[in-house]
Amino acid sequence: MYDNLEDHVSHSHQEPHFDSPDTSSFEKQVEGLKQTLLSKGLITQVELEEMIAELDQRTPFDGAQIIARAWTERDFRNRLIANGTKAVSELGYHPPDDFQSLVVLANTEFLHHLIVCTLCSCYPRWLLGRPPDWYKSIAYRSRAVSDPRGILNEFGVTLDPNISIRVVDSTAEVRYMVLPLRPSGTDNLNMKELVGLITRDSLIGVGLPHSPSVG
Amino acid sequence: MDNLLGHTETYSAGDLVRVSYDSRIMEHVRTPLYIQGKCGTIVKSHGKFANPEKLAYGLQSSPKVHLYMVEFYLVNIWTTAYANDSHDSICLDIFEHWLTSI
Repeated sequence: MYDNLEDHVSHSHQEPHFDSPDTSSFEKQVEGLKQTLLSKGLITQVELEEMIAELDQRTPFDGAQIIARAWTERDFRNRLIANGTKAVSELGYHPPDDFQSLVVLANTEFLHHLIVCTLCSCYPRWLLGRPPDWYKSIAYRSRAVSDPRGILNEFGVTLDPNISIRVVDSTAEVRYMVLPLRPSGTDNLNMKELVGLITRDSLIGVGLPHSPSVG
Repeated sequence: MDNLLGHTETYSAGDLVRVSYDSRIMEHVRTPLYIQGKCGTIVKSHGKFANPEKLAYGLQSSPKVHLYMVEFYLVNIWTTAYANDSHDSICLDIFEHWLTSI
């Protein structure tokens, strides 16, 4: 699904290869669960298709628009950091369930955030779409919490040793998104141009936004 | 957060806490084993949420519990793999009944 997004949000040029788990047994379990729910009438085929369609509508372009707005409007940025759920609702983005909330983590000159879900694959799907496969891999989930600098190096990001890393493990109903630092030399760019610099990976913290010369 | 009921969260930002160690690893808990028994600092309260340890067993009406963002230095978790001067950290969301003051 990300292939047709290249015009808007491009990926890191460097993406490490993480081993994929054997999915065949999971596929059988999912199919079994689906058939059971359908046969018991707990869910209909139409509802299932609507949920999938809703999920497929979301892409990292949504998250990028929010970040570009935070880069250009200080008041919005402050509201976004203070209460992410409330601030993005101003732009028409609402969590899929009432109980889910959003916290936006602002990177600074001295602090870089990296998001993971060690228990499963929690991800702000309602702002970024489906997570990439590597996000769900055992390798990423275990190494992000034990060797975040190593992970970042493999994604082509080498942070200055003076910048601390804060890994955030999404263990409950809160979803996290990174607010990356605005690249220098972007003062004269319009919103569309800024959005074009914001990669999906920079919203997870495994990448940085493009600089204008590259973007 | 809970003033309407006449009480508030037990912890606030900056409080030092220890995560319980719990051997019920086969049950549905959201506190990963790697953080159990470790000491950290409360970053913020997220408010109250349904308890996933009850929801997983169909107990929909169990009381909501306070959830906190808690920060730990990685050097305190992976003692051999991290340089002592590193300020790299990890935050997890942990339910109140897993925490004790230190």
